[in-house]
Amino acid sequence: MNSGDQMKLKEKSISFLISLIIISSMLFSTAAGSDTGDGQQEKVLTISMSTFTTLDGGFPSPLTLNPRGGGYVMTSYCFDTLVWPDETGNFIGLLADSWESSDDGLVWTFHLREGVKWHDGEPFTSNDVVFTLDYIKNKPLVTAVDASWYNTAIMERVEAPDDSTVVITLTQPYAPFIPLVAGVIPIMPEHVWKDVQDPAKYSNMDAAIGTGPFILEDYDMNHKSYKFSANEDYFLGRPVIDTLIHIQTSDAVLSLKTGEIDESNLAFDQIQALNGSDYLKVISGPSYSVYRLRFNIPSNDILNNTEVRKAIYHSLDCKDIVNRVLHGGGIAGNSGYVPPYSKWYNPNVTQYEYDPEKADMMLDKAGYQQRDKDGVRLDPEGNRLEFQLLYCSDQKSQRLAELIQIYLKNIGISTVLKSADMQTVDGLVGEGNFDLAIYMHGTTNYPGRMLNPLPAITGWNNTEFISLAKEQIVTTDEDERKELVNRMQVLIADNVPTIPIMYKNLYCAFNQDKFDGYFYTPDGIGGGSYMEHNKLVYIYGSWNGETLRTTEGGNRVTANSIGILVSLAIFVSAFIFIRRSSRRP
Amino acid sequence: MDRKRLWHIFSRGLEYSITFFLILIINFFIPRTMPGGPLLSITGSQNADLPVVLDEETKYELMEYYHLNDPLHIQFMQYMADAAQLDFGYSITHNIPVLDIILGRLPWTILLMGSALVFSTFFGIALGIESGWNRGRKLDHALLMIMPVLRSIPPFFLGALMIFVFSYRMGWFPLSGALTPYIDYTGMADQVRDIFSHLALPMLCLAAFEMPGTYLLVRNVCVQQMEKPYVLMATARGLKERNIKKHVLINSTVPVVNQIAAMLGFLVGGAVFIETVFSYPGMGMLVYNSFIERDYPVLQGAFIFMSLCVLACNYAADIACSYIDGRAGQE
Amino acid sequence: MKERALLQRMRSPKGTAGLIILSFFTTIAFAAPVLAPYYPSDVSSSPLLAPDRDHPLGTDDVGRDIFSNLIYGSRTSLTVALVVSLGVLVIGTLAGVFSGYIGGKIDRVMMRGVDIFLMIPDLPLILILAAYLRPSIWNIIFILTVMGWPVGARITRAQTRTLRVSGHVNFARVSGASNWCVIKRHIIPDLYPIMTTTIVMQSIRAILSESGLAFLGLGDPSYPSWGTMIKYAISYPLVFFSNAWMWWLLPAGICITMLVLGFVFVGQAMEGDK
Repeated sequence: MNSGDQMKLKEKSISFLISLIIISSMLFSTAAGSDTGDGQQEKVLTISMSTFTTLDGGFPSPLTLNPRGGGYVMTSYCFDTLVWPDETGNFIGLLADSWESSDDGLVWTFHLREGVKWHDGEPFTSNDVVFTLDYIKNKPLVTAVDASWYNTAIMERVEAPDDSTVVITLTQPYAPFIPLVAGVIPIMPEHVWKDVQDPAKYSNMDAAIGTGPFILEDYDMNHKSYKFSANEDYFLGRPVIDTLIHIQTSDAVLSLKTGEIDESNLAFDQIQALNGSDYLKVISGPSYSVYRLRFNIPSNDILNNTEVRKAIYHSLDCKDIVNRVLHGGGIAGNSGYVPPYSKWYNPNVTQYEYDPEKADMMLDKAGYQQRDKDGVRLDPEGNRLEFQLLYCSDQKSQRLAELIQIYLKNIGISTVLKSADMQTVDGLVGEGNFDLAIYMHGTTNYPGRMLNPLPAITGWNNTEFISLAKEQIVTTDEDERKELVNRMQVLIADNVPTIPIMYKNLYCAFNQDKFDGYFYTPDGIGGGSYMEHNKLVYIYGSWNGETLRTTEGGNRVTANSIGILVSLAIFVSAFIFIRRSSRRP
Repeated sequence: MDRKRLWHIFSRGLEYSITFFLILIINFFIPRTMPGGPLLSITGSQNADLPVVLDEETKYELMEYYHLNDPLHIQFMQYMADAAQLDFGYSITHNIPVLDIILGRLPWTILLMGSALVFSTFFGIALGIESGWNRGRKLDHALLMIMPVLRSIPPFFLGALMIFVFSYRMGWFPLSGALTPYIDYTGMADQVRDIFSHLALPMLCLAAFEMPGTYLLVRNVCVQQMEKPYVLMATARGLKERNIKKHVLINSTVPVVNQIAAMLGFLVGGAVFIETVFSYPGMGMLVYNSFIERDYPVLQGAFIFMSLCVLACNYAADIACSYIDGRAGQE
Repeated sequence: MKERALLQRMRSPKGTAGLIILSFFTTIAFAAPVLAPYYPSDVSSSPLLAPDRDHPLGTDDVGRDIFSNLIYGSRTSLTVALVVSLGVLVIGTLAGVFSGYIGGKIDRVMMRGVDIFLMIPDLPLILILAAYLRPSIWNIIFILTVMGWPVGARITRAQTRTLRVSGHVNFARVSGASNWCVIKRHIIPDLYPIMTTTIVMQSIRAILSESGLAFLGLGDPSYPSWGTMIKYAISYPLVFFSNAWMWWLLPAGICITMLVLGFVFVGQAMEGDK
């Protein structure tokens, strides 16, 4: 019985090992077999928005997209607007051929392009434009995009005198009508949407039917990936690529190097890691993204004092902060709030250079000359000058908060750091439950969107500023408007409602051997989205087709992983079996 | 005996239902008391792309649309009624039913946790028996050193190290995700290979997190059994090692099953870290992301679903154990 | 006598190793101001320096000395471990002894409550709670204590049940000692081994949870934490492309592992492993 049992055991273990080996070799061989591709070359471009790793763009229909995940870009592939900015920032006609406005700026007439077809073959007419604008205007505000991106309130009525003309009458003259309304609202097909009651919940594949250069093939919410195919009949010409894929990657640099992706936006630090890869071309652009210090002006009596805010401004060395937080990937802030690279920038405003002694003097003068034993200033009642500094828990904001804490300590102001996620910060600020807060957000190069909301986002209510803001938005004369905007900046610099600490730059890298032509649209697309993904890139760019770059060969190498796993399993099992059979009592 | 067992199954079931009900209540109240509120997720934050300024009327309209203006008890009734139909509402960021999102993520988590569980249980038992059998020898000592270390490494740190070594340096495994999006598979095997190569690292990580528990348990059972007179007798009688091990194996089934069930809630926690590190599109990642985005309906739905799964598994383990071992049925 | 047995067990290789590790970290935590060349929040140096004489482990992305942060990080971890384990011990023991000693219906209800607590998957709930209460070290301690006491209560209660029917306790009760007296004199001392186990287990849990929460970005930013260091190291895009991982990522991870390992060894030694 003994020896028989042993034989059986041995047989069993051997057969087990053999079967494992067979399985693993099968996996190996299929992996090897998968390398041989078929002959015809499909022009596939894979790109990634790596700076949005945790976010998702949402289903790319005009009313379901998620603006925070770059969803507007996805939607713009499928849908066209009446007009669209090109490489120079000038607006060219997409669905509109030409357009003109009345002298008072109230009536806009668009002559539509002939022969445009929806992705499903239906002809595009002026009725679709009227339908879209009315539809968006009349539906309750149900989505973020709707509320913040599509300014339909400005339109009094929209009419279609004939199949190829649309006349839009505004409630008041609106200077940035072309870039912020006509160039933003995607036109949707009436025949698809006319019976849709709740557009926010409508995400059939039908909902992505537009006139755009790409047709949606697939959107995978779980992997946050998109696949588009070229629209053969696109009126500006067929895109130079066949398939456009957007995927998420956790390390864009590595993915670019292995060829897993062909383009990605990157942080400044990541650009440093690209050296040695000549085929990767890096371009940069302004983002108009500002990191700023917000004060609780309405309910904090100390910070309500303009002199205190000025002293705080003098105490911060913004250039040093840019170096430490962005490592050089940005520029220091401007006291007039408008970044120096903007055409609206006014250089003749009060400047606040880094000068802690001056800051000390100003605070002394403001009545905070007493200090306690820790060197923290005291107010006349003997309370410490201590503020809570609220910030978002992302890395850059946290770093910024830590630096501000140190700078403020220098001038005798103590801060307590308090971090939270974005929504909590917003909630606390909204309730007025904070002293100081660090904000990072985008602005646009349109004064109406960059400067006009300032009272709302700083809590600073200056009647002169508000009336200037109202005036500039309805002023259609460019010079006059520039003058008004200049005066707004002077007011901001004199009152320091918020401290713009720095502006971040944008960077992206792409495989120029494969595809070239990316650019940053000067004033952004969609009224202020500063991404390199202007859809015109794919029509006017050039396909160079050097597809297979097997330097490090991403996928090919990973083919071994199963083999490695199985080998590991074999090793451990073999180990156990051998031990078992070797030690017989 | 049978009646007793039925009663046991029934009373345990009742207990689990009460637990689940309590979880539902906790789940309802906690997110609603968070500052910030769901509206900010809808309108976007001032920290996002463009600052959004909403007037009061629009705010009210939006609150109305998402039924956030109703009194709390009405919201609660509605919530319970919906929960009964597994209707967790619509995701605020995705605009699709929460259940759809969860069902999209669930297979990946089941794949990850399931394979990690199988892997760790198999090797935990095998190594535990080997270790216990060879008590005091080199192998036992080595394992007794390795297992505590595995247990002490924080899962996210282990994950980061694995990514660094096997993905960056060796290039053996993909960096993140659960599959390569939009590649043309040459066949079934190719697809399986792709999924497994993405699964390997997170699975090993999770298994390493779970294995020491099983290992120590089995080793202890093994050591205890070996000291029992009948084993000594058996060895003396020259009974085969294999048969004795089999005996040990049977004896350790109940504690191991119990231990795995007890570990499940813990394992879910480990999965949150590991899925976050590896960007694996499972439930853990969903919880973390929807938490960052404050997507209340998804957060609630995911929490309920996870609790439900953990409770169901615990219940199943309870019943299984009461069948395997009649004694467990009696107090 | 019990204490002596415990000491004996601690003399085993594992126990010794564990105690050495723990005393090492405790010393570091106490001597942090002496050992650390910089204050942890000092950002006077250039960012992203490689190790040199001034900065034994280089500097991080804003110019803080990594070595100093590592040393001060031990304070955070040990404080959380200590306070949470003591909190769980006190609440758990009180609840466990009460429930076990009284017995009957109250005991059953309490233990069912504890069971319910034990079955909730804790990390998702901790995530929600941690964000709700905002990142602060005391809130983390509070959450971990609240989520942890049922474990302590369960073990203590089981032991109390056993003790209650054992000879000397019965004898004391029959001889007319008051309940409180019996608990204080005869039950609590017999619970010491279980209490030490609870402290060790809860410390492990607290250290891992604290670093995990910090890693997910829910830690207290004003205290240097090893979990936060790992989070920042990983989110620095170049960490794996340069050698920065060696002095930025690795030390913090090793510190967490070693500290937990110290507790694990002590725990195993107490259970009689050599």
